[in-house]
Amino acid sequence: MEDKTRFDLNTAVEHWLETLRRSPEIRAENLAELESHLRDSVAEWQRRGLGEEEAFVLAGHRLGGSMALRQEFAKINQSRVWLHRGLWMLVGIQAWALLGTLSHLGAAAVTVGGLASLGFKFREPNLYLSALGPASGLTLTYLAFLAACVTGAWWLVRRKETGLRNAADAVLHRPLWVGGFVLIPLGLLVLNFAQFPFLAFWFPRAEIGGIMASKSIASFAESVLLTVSLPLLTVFLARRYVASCRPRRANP
Amino acid sequence: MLSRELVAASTVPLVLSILGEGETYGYALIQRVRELSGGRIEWTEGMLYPVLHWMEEAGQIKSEWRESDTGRKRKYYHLCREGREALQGEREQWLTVHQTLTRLWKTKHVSI
Repeated sequence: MEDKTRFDLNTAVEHWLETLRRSPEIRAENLAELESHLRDSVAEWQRRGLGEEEAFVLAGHRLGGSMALRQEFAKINQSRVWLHRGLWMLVGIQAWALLGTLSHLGAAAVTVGGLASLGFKFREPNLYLSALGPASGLTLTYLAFLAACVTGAWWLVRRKETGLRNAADAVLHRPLWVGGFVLIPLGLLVLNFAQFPFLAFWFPRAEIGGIMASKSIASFAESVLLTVSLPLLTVFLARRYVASCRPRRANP
Repeated sequence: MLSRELVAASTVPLVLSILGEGETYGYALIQRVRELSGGRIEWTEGMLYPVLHWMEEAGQIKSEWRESDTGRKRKYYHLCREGREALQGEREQWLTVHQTLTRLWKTKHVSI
């Protein structure tokens, strides 16, 4: 019984290191030096009569909290901090490409498949007028898919923050896995291309022209919407961020 | 207790002066400052290491990982030529401040 709760210095130090090891602000060499300091300090407090656990707690307290340490070390490891941010940006760009392509394919499958099953004919003559209906359907379904993906991602970030962060850190610490992200755009390219033989198999040639016209009108509409909404979203989030930087005014 | 600003400003001259006595490592450096100041200069210990790193980048000090008598590895620091020159500069500046204040307080001492 007693063994389970007994304090083990090496485990405690390892646990303490683990939290800092994932901080981009602190390099492995910095951490080795901090560990050496922590162990010297623990030994000194034990020599002065403290128990192992008390010595560890006091030594850690004197060394400084992890937030304070990260802030100080960020000043000397700027390039590493930016490398970490850049990696996150690249992951973000690819995640965006993934969400976008999945939404496109999903919208096309639902709208084109749905209309075809209802007996709708994508006609070649009068190309653009008859394509407007399916195109607006495509755009709306695409936006619904994208909204669902973004909401899902937002929910994950808000609710499963720790799990997500751990998973992301695990990926970032394995360069080959990060490299694996390169395969995502490649896979998406293949998926995108695969829709053409698929369409050719299911639809008569006369209708494919109508479907492609609908898709091109829809993708133009989507580009316009994204071009307008992304800067607006950026401004909205930036304003919220700036507002949270200001101190709150005290009530009169 | 010293103010935060004064602690920050005096870190580099303190490190240079202690390394002027001979090579040492981070923990011992902090102990020496505590001992010499009678506990009145208190550093948040982890904050010393970014300063040491910066001083090494500036060419004032050099470091080396070596095994200590306890068997664990430690990072030892020693002063370089540029560090000695920096120490001389710091010494002159701090002595100027010290002398000026001492003179002022000596003349005012009667009137307080």
